[in-house]
Amino acid sequence: MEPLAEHDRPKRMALIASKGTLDWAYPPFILASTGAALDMDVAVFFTFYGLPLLMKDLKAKVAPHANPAMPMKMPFGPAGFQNFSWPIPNVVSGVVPGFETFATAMMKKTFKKKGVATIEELREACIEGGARLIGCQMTMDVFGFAQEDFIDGTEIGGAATFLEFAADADITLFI
Amino acid sequence: MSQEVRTSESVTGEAEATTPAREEAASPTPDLELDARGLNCPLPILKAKKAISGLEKGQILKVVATDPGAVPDFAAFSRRTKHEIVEQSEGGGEYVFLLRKV
Repeated sequence: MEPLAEHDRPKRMALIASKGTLDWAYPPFILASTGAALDMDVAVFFTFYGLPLLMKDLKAKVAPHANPAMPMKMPFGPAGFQNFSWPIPNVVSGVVPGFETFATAMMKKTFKKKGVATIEELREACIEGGARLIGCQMTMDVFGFAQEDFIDGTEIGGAATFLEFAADADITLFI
Repeated sequence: MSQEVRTSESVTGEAEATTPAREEAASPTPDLELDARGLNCPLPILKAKKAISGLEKGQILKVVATDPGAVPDFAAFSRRTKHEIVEQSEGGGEYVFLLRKV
């Protein structure tokens, strides 16, 4: 069989997921699942705080503290109320116990209402679509995670594993 | 050759199918329908990909979506995957795509 011509080979996308909050969990999983749906070869390298996004028991939360760009809105009530962005001073978001849990619940509720996929659904779509999800070995060692903490289909590797794939990538993003 | 007098829907002269009031000539019958209403990016694309994977080459997937972003996204999906958008319409806040599997 002839080797594939350059324009015939699938496009390749290599992502690094380095952040583990709920909001930052979306971009890598959305891009990876969609890339796979567009017939691209996709790999995502989960490192540092991104690594827990591969855990079976996903606990990603959103952190409104010191995040002034995040609109604080309520997913219930009349339209005017829902559209109102609540000004929460850092001194409140940083001190009130459970504020992140509350904000996370609000965000999840809003996303569900707007028909946005959960991270779990997107992860599943990545695996079904054949995207490689690579957990960083070094981060595992540092944070004390074990392979069985991660969802099935997780591959473990290091910088060289990612770079070997990324070397031929058409798209490379650090998220 | 009586073909010239025939109307466009029966040029082939094959067995006349059903007789519902004339369908628009080109509208193919979907082999599978996907209700993606209420779903947001990228779910309509992900579900369409999954649905079309189960079809045979040449079969038609109908997708109904309410996300306005589906319009540019399905165009991009079609250009990349080569699954052809054979028909597209919109009305009442719904976007309908007929995709032919490549």
